[in-house]
Amino acid sequence: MERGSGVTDIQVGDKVLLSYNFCGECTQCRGNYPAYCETLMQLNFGGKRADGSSIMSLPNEHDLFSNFFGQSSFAKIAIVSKSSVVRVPLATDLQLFAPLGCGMQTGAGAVFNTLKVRPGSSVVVFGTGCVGLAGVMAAKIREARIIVAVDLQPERLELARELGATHTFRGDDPDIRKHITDLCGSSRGADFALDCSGAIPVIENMIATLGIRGKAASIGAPAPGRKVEVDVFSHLTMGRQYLGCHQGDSVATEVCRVLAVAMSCAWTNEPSR
Amino acid sequence: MIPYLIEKHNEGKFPMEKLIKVYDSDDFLQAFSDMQEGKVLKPVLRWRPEIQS
Repeated sequence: MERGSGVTDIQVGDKVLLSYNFCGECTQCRGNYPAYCETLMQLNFGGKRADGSSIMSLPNEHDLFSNFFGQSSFAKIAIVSKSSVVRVPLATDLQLFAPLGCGMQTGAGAVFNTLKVRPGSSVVVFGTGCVGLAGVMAAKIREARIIVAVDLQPERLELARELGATHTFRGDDPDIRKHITDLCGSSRGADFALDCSGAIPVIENMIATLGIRGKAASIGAPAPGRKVEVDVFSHLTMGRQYLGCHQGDSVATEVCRVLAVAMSCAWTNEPSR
Repeated sequence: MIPYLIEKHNEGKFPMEKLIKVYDSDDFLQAFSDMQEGKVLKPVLRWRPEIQS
């Protein structure tokens, strides 16, 4: 590892993992919400540095699209902004933990930070790929009573069960909405739900099966411009919330956003407001 | 979030190793096809130390 002149908090020889890039200076970054950095799209998907220069070029001087997700780390060498770097203990198995920087912290962060899942509550996770399964594991850590996994692949539902799901349903079950609302009981639906599929009918199922004061978050991304239908009357009278969330609102370097807020009310049985 | 998840993993509460399969970087096409076919959840590419510059 080498470091640039402006980097002071990382030493050569440290073990590091990589996550998304952010500017560190805009209102969202200063408010400790770097996942909503005002230049996030440009810094992570723009293919060059904020000043327009390219990190990589070919010998014939053609600039290359680089720094995908702030990293372009599918290579022997990655040149990254200091914002992307997360220092970890020297004993850390980097090969195992490399996937934490995006999908895993997104699924887990959505449960911990965005939804603030409460012990004893019900959680439904739609789509059990890496992100959704990280959400299942996090819901178990948060001691949810009912953890439902929904997917089309039986093997993944089986793995979801192994990781903490108490119930599983196939997403193409025509009675999926009834199954979920029946299971969750008195609140007429789920306390918390997470969509990791990005599929419009699935997101609509998620919102429609939210219980009273239930809270749902979209993680899976449909194509820009796609819309979902919301029954506004039910949404209003039941006090439902449907949120967007990027990177599970995670600050990659922090121990845990919610823990960092000095064990605030979010970790008690009372919902935070 | 990352240090927290590492800690939870070390406590056995975030068994992410069950989602991961490591491929040599030369086998990236295999990693892609295994991912597309749903055989692996999270392929991780490893560059061998001897070929690192």
